[in-house]
Order: sequence, then structure tokens, then C-alpha cells
Amino acid sequence: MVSSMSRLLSMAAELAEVWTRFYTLGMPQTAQQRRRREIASDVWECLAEVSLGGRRSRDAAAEILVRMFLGIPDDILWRLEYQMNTTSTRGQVPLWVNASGLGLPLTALALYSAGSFSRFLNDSSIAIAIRDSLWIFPALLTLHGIAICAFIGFAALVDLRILGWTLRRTPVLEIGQSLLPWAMSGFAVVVLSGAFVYLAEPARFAANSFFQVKVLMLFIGGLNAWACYRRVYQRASEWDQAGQVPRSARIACGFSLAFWAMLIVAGQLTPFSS
Amino acid sequence: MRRKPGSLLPIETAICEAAYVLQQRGIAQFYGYSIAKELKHAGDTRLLTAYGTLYRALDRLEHMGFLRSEIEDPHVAAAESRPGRRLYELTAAGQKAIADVAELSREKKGRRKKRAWSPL
Repeated sequence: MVSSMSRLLSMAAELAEVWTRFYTLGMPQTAQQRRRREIASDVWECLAEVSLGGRRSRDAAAEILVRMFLGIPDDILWRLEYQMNTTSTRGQVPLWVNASGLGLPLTALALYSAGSFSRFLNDSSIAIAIRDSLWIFPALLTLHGIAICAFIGFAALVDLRILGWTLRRTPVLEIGQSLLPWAMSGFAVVVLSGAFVYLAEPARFAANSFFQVKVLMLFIGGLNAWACYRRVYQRASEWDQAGQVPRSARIACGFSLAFWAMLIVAGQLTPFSS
Repeated sequence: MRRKPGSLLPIETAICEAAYVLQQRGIAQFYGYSIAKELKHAGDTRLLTAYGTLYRALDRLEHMGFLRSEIEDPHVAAAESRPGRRLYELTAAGQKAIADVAELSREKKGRRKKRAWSPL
């Protein structure tokens, strides 16, 4: 079957598999395997139709990609719902502090890897293709910019609501359920498009201090937001009933806003650092 | 927004109805891809339901007791050289749920008709 598949189709199938692996990462084995097997089976059925000549491989590839991308908000919500229904323990240290702390070693690891592999990546075919094309880099940069606006815009609205500075009449849970899937999808696009932007000039970006600050903010801010928003799904209805949000959640959201602001500033200053 | 317990979202109703149609055709069990195709056919749309939307809804329906699922016999999958499927089946509670939804929509239509013919 594989031999009759086009490169685009096999790439689409692989991408669907990678995405499924990503959002099921860290889940209990049973739930993880169940979801991964279901998606693998679904994708396989589609590929089988192509190999039997039932449809064109280009159409099937487009279908797999569209189904995957349109399903991302639901995948994220499903994961959050699963987490919400299975976790009940609360540690002494707020989760968002632990998560933000985890951002530091992760950033260090990411930057170290980026620095070590920058020469290798610089000469890779993808990097050359991005550099040589007239439109790929501007298109990636535009997508990255739009995704940052969308992601930070939605995330900031949730943060501001939790802080009680806006939309006070709307319950936190409602705001969270409406906007967080969009913010998280935006975050995924920011990371993906950012990785390709980085690939255009890995050696230059790896040595750029503003870029390093941006990556740091992305990791710390992302983990802080993940921890804070997970709490939104767990406890927002209690907050809405009590009419007030706990101090720790407000502090986490304040930090979140600060991280995003620094991320934007560092991003803007990246081209000006030699 | 929280929904009333027991009420169904449009995608969940569509899945239950599609499962019922398959059941009437003698196909008691279905799997993700087959129900996605059935939904596409029933809804007359160009695209199959997104992976995330479909499997999240199937998960919810199973939790609500409207569907039950089991892993396909691995020998069957191996004989056909394909990955094993998760087979779903509409339960009696699922059948009742779609009957309730149909009843409710009939009532709503009836009310709308009455209002339309009202002299006031």
C-alpha cells in the first residue's frame, strides 16, 4: 500500500500520527493507546481507499490534514477534560510555580540543542529551501505574527478575566471554555511556524540574545499558562459560584501577562541584535 | 456554557442517528471511519468530521452510556493486515435518547406551526 502512496499523503498520515502522539503524551497507557490506535486505524482506512483506487491520493491527503487541523481544539479540550476528571491531588507549592520552574531547564536544554545543531541545521535541505525561496520566509513570518496575535490576544483575555479587570459579568468557565481552545491552537501554530522561521537561519538565531529571551518566555509562559488554565477547567465553576478567584490564580495570570509582554518585546528586538 | 444532563449536542445526535441507520441496515457495530463516512453521507457535506471532534464525541457518548465499545478481535484485523478497530454499538439508552430528541423536535415544529397559524 505504501508504494502507491504519494509523498504528500504519507506526510499527512505521519503528521496526524505525530500530532496524536504529542497531545496524548504523558497520559495513562490505556487511554493513550486507545486514542492513538483509533486515529491510526482511521488514517489507515483512508490510505486503504487510495491504494484500492477508490480515490485520489491528493484528496485523501487534504482530507487527513483538514480533519487533523480542524480537530485540534477538540483534541486539546479532550485532553483537558481527561486531566480534569482524573487528577484530584493538590501539592503544597502551586502547580503554576512548578510548571514555570520547569520552563528554565527546558529552555536551557532547547537552546543548548539549538546551538549544538545549528551548523547541521543551517546546511539542511529545509533551511536552504526556506532561505532560497522568495515567498516561504515572508509567509512563515506572517503566519507566525498572526498566530502570536491570536494566541496572546485570546490568552490575555482569559488572564484579564481571571484578574477581574474585564468581562466581569461573564463566568470564568464560559470565557475559558470559549477562548482557551483557540489560544492553545494559536500556541501550537506559534511553536510550529517559529520552528520553521528558526530553521531559516539557525546559526544566527541560536546566537541571538533576544531570541534566547523569547524562547525562555515561550517555555516559562507556556508552562505557567498550561498549569493555570488547567486549574480554570478544574475549579472555575467553584470560582464562579464563590464570586471570587483565588489569589494564586490571579498571581499566575499576572505573571502570564508579563511573560507574553516580554515575549513580544524580545520578538520585536530579535532582528536588531547582532 | 454547561448543558443539561442527558441532553445531546448536534454532533452526538448525528452520531446516534447514523448508528441507528446502520443498525437498521443490519450493521450493529461501527468504527470511527465508518461512522464518519455515514455522517458525511447523512449531512451531505464534503468533508468527514474532524478526528478530534469525532473521537471526543464518541468518548462522551460512551461515558453517557449511549454507546458501548470493544476492541476488535486481533485475529480478524491480522487476517486483513490492518490495525485493529474499536467497534462501537448503540445501546438501548442511545436509542431512547434519539427517540427523545426526535420527539422534542416534532413538538417544537408543532409549536412553531401553531404559532404561525395563530390569528394574533
